[in-house]
Amino acid sequence: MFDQLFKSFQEKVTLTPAEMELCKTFFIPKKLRKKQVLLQEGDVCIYNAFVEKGILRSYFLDEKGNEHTVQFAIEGWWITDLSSFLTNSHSIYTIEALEDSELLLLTTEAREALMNQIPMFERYQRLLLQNAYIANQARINSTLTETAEEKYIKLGKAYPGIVQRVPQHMLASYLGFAAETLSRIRKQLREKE
Amino acid sequence: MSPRKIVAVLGVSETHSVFMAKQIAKTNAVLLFDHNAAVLNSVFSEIQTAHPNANVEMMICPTNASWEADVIVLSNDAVIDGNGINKIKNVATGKLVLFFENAFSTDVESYSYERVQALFPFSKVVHVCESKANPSDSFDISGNNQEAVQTVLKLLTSIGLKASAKKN
Repeated sequence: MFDQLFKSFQEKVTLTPAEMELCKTFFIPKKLRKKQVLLQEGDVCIYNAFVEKGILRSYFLDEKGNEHTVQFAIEGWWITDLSSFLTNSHSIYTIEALEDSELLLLTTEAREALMNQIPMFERYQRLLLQNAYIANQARINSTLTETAEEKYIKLGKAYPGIVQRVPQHMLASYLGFAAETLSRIRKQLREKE
Repeated sequence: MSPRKIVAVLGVSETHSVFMAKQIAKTNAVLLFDHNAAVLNSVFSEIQTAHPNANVEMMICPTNASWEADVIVLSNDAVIDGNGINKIKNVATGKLVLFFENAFSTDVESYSYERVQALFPFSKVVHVCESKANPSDSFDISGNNQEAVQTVLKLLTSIGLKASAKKN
């Protein structure tokens, strides 16, 4: 149940067996079925979710009712609305499971308690936020400078697991263009091969 | 965070659990489990007949039911049987665990709050006891975690039951 989480810890910090056991007591194990919602737009996001198994996405709807996918999370990743989670404000995002998923949920109180009791967990959190910031910068740069085809190819190379598991219209929405554009790009790429 | 709570009712061969499962199924998703398949089927059909639109499902494993649930309702049998509890305690961490007691129960030890909380050291355990004045009609709710007590109070009153929070 904690395999991916401990693997994620080990990639960034060193925890003792006793600290790992203690960690287990702070997480809420939760199974979500495909299409079930972890966070509903308008609610306060009270969990930071670690994905042990499955895949989730966060998205919001614009005024015209169009979906905009903001993030995917596969095994070993975290997903939340950080702003809502940290400030207790209402979220504009919905987070849903795209497959049957197994999650480990952390509340703000549990996160604080973990950081107090296990200093290495604070370092782990800092490294996660650092990486998330870098990834966001890269995404902004990509949005401003790359063509639709370049974005798609880059995503496929960096995260083949996402491209293979996620419906095309969600991928297109994540990359910021229409599903028809993605379909055309894929056709062109097939023809080039 | 979930719009509706998912409630696992473990052990539906008792009047209390069936009553609760039926009531909760009116507004929340309910996962039913019982070791006795015939009883489980019968209660499932009963709930579906009473509430055709209820989001209710039979589960074949108490661990999976508890893993998926936000709230775990233990039957009287489950409270007494420590083996059953061992199957779910790892997936009950951080969750709300409810156990019911009849108004005139004499098994003080089994239903002691401390005993059940010790069985689920990392869960929010809430004790729901029939009021002695109006058994089966109103309930006294107690527990160490006041937020959990208030959540159960809201859950029970939202399904039309009379309930009040008592000091533990």
